[in-house]
Amino acid sequence: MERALFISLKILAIDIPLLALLGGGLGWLLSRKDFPGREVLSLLVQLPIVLPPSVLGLYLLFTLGSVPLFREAGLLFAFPAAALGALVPSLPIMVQAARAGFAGVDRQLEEAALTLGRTPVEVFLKITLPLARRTLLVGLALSSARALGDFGVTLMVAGNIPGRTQTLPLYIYGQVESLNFAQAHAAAMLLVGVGIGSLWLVRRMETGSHERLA
Amino acid sequence: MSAWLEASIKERAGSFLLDVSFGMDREIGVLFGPSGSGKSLTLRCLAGLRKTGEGVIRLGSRTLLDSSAGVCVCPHRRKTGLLFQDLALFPHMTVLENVLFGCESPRSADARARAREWLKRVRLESCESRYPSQLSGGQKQRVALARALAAEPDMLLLDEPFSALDGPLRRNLRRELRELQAQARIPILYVTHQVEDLCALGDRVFFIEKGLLAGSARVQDLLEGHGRMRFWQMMGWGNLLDGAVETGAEGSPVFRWASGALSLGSVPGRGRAMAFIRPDRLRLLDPRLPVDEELSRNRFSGRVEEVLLEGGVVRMHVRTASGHWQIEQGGPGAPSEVARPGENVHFAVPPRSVELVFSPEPKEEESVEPSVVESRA
Repeated sequence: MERALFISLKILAIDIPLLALLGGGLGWLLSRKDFPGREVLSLLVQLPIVLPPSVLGLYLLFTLGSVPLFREAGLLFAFPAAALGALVPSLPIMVQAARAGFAGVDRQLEEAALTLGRTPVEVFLKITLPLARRTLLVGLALSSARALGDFGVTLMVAGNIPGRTQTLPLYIYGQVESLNFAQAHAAAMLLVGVGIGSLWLVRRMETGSHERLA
Repeated sequence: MSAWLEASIKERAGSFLLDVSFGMDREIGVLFGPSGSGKSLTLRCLAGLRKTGEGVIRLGSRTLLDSSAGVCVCPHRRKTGLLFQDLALFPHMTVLENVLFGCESPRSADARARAREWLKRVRLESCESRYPSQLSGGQKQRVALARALAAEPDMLLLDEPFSALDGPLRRNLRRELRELQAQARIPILYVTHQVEDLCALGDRVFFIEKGLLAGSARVQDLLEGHGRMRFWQMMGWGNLLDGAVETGAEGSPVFRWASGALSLGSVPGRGRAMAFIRPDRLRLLDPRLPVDEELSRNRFSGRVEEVLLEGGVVRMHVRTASGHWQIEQGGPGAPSEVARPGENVHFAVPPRSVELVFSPEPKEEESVEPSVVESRA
């Protein structure tokens, strides 16, 4: 189990920054910028929420396996594929949260900051980001939990190779298959604990945001 | 010599076309006109928050916009402070942090001292560690003012920032703004649709209607001199009466003009004055229903001459025995309820809606400040 836990943590260490940057960036783009193809992008980004993991996995499998660059990099059935498999279905959650978070920041505050002589970058860092912070963190907590718990997509693109791509959810599956229920329970309890922890965090951040504004 | 601030702006927003050109010195200018006439849009163009399609803006020796030369200075380099109608204080920063935000190198002790200095000037030094949500309306206004001025702007734009305030607070802030302007020596442009603000604060007024500059005048010329009625008529909006405040039969003040009289609330003075009544403050009455006593004293009836529909507002021109009146009805009123030309309507003038501008007594020439009082019932 330690090895599976270690792989899961390693995936989180890679995916959380990616979720923050990619999800936050896409959310900002979708909430603030008007560009051709915005609706299409919005739809594509949302798609993983409604598609079954197996469908997502299938397309990822073919993308990684048929595009020459990816094929030569040997990503499939290796750790990078596991990290990607966890990222793809959790990204929409972060994008959605970031979109709501940035949309919730009063544009007039940003405009006021501009007229006070601050550059657009400073305005983003000092006004937009702090005001959207809570929603962004809630999104990050929920999407990270989703990444940690991914099963289907990881299985499709990275397989279930102990020590290489076997994450905690896959480990549980393996233990149940070989009727090792005690091990499965231990790992499951761990995930339940993490789940409760992240929901508690989210709850705390949500109530906190109302206090400040009241 | 050209003016300190020269602006010529042409901007299209949907079907609305803004086309204004004006100039002013380091004084207080007032943009005056009905809502939806393009006043706020003008400020946004001046501040650079709206990319202006065509125009020239020069401030002192700087060119902020020259569309023919391809010059358009970004809003954060324009050094134009803008006070928004809802103030836009940063909710996650304390009062001091809000004021510091506009200062140069906000972390330095020097900036901190300057920000405190500004807070002291608006008498908020005791509130520096509070958050905006913990302040009263008037305090918020003053923080916003201090914040805008701490950034040391070359021009200050105000978009009805005091509209939420009443009576004494409003007067205080106007006085503060006047003092600050005298110290900072920058052009201040103030948007309002209240005559009271215009007369008490402005040096120069620009009448804006339907996106066009209908005229401009020195406020002093509006208040005295022979041609003053002509100036007021330039704005083409509102009901303006030239008469005098007298004591009526019951001892209460009455505004009397050539062809009629209006009962007023309590006003401090008597004498020659002009009365301004915003068309949206007039109340249309249903003759079958009783009205409260206050309104019934100022009841008029007349024939509708013209009905105009403009952006959700119905404007009626009504001819009565006591003169010509403009009545505006906004919002959700169903079009079927609107009177048609040729019909008779009844309406009332609420005593508290009468804004009075007293004419300065010819003897007291030293009093330049016009006395403006909003009549209160």
